[in-house]
Amino acid sequence: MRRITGSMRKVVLLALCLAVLAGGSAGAAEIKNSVGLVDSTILIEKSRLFDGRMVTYRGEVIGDLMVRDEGVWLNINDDAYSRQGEQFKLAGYNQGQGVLAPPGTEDVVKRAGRYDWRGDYGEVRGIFRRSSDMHGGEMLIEASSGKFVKPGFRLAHPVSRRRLMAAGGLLALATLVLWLSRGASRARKRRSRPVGGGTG
Amino acid sequence: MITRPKLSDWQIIGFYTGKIIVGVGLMMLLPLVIGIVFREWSAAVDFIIGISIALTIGHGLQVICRKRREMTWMPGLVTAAFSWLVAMVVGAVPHYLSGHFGSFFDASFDLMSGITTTGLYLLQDLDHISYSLNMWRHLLTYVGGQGIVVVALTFLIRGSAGAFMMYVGEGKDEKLLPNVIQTARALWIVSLTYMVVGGVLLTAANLYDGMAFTRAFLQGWWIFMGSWSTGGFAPQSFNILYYHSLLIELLTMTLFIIGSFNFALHWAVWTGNRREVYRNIEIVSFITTLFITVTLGSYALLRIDAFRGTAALFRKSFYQIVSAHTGTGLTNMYPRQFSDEWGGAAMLAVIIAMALGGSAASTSGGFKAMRVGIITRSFMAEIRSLTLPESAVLVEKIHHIKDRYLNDKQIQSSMMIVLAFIFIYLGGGVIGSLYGYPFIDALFESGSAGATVGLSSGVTSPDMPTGLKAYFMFVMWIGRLEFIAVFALIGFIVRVGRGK
Repeated sequence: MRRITGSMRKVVLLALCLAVLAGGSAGAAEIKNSVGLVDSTILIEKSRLFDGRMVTYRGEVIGDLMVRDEGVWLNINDDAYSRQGEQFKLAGYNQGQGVLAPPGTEDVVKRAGRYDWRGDYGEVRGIFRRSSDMHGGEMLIEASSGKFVKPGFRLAHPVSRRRLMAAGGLLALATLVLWLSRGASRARKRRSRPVGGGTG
Repeated sequence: MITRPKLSDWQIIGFYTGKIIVGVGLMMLLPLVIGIVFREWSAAVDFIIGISIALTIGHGLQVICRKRREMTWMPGLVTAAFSWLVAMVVGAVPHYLSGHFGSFFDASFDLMSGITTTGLYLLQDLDHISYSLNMWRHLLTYVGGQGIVVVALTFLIRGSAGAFMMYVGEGKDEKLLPNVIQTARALWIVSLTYMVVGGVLLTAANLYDGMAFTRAFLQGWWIFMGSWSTGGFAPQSFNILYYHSLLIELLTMTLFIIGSFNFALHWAVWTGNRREVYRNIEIVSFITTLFITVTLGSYALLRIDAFRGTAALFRKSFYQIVSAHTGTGLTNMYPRQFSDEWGGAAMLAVIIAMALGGSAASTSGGFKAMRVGIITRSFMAEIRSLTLPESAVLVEKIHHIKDRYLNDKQIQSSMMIVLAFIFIYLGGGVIGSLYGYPFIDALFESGSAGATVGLSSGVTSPDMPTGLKAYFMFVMWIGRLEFIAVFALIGFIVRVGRGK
């Protein structure tokens, strides 16, 4: 089970304090409801707390950009992989958040993360909805703005020489066993065939 | 006196297991082709290694264990159970070599989950895996739904004598046609037809939803495989939520409902008997229990104001509970929402739905609608008998393809299997609690693994204790094969150790 870590709690508390402080000044409703930078874990675990508030969320764009009438759907991961360089290291499951971005976002985001690509890393700002009635109860961020500061890059998957040699060796072994199996099967068929039977 | 298995028993088990493992190896050709087409050379090499190992073991077993006699019941059941274990190990090779697993054991967990159509996974960084590995994951779940023995029966095993024993050992006992090999082929005709229709529709839906063609095509076929086989695997970590699409949710839900129906029912409709849909005991039982669990779940969610608006409530609760009830495991929510937002009562509704399962001789697990129907009928008959004179003889009938009279043996065997399922669900709940997880979360996960569903409350993760991983693998296997074949294998092992 995932637990809220101390650092996460600090981020939330700090963000809420800032929001309360900011609420006293200027009187802008957006600022009053703003909680600053959040992550996907805290959004899911404390969804009621952030519902309807302006949040800032950072991560790597994953998979596909789906352009529709209501805007552009993005899936943005803020897991450990999103911050990794070219060196891949196992770090648990992916984590992320669905984002509905304004039309035109597809021109800004150049790369989405896949097998051979680390996606563009950016920041979106928008209203978090715990259960959006416009979108069938989906938990999402309705982004109003965003910037993608770190462009995606290619992930290399070099073929290891040792693995290539192992593949060749095993393939040769499989062919040999297949040949033996076929040979044994043919010999058995010959043995089971009736002997003689010439017409004379 | 317990007798030790004869050499010929070993030979026949080894021979047919070899055939099945060759089948697993040949299946890897498809992901290999995908790897070559998309220039995923590293992944392609992993599949060459996997294929070579499978063919070496498979053909090696056939050379060593030359078949000398026909299959009988016990070796047939043992072969079915044993071949699933060997398939798990051999099939996990490309998984492990991909570098996305913490250990070979974790990779084997995903294999068992795939072939049993469960859908729980320990793969890490799913969003960056190759197309070929994603194809392998989904192909496993699609083929596992039909049964790996069915694959072997269809393509690799000639002659029907003894084949029926292996077929039954895989948890199917419906003979659609007089010959079991013809039956296996009939299952494939039904499945492949749905695959063409479902794959085209889902590809079209992805294109409509704004995806580029290649991705729309691949993801369309993969989510078809995950839905139709009630497998629950999806190509992205967000599962079905990734698509943010009502259309995809409706299509996948239709597919997994149809996929959870008995193949005998499919065949009846296929051959023109459309009225069977309205009369079949499994359909009646499924609709009744689905209505009860959806009502329970929705009411519980309504009380805690989990979703805003009736449409949202219905879309989320209905999808989750149908997915649970059909043994699918696809979800349009974040997994942690179950434990964080749904609350105990709604989770209990999902657990009940998972435990009940879909139809017999289908791809889903759990008690099965047939057994629920039989037990309910016998219960009602028992109550009715109290109101009748002592001399009255009460005869109870059920309709499944044809009218059948219920007898005590059927009722007893249904109750035994249901009890065994309850035992494995509760066992996981208790073991999970001992490892420190909340009981409701552990029970949810155990029910999901035992009924081969795949929904998760967040317990399953790469950090999960090894003992719990092993337990979940065991219950996926025993739940998918419905106990009998696994008991036969355990009996065989006992005979090896203690026989004379």
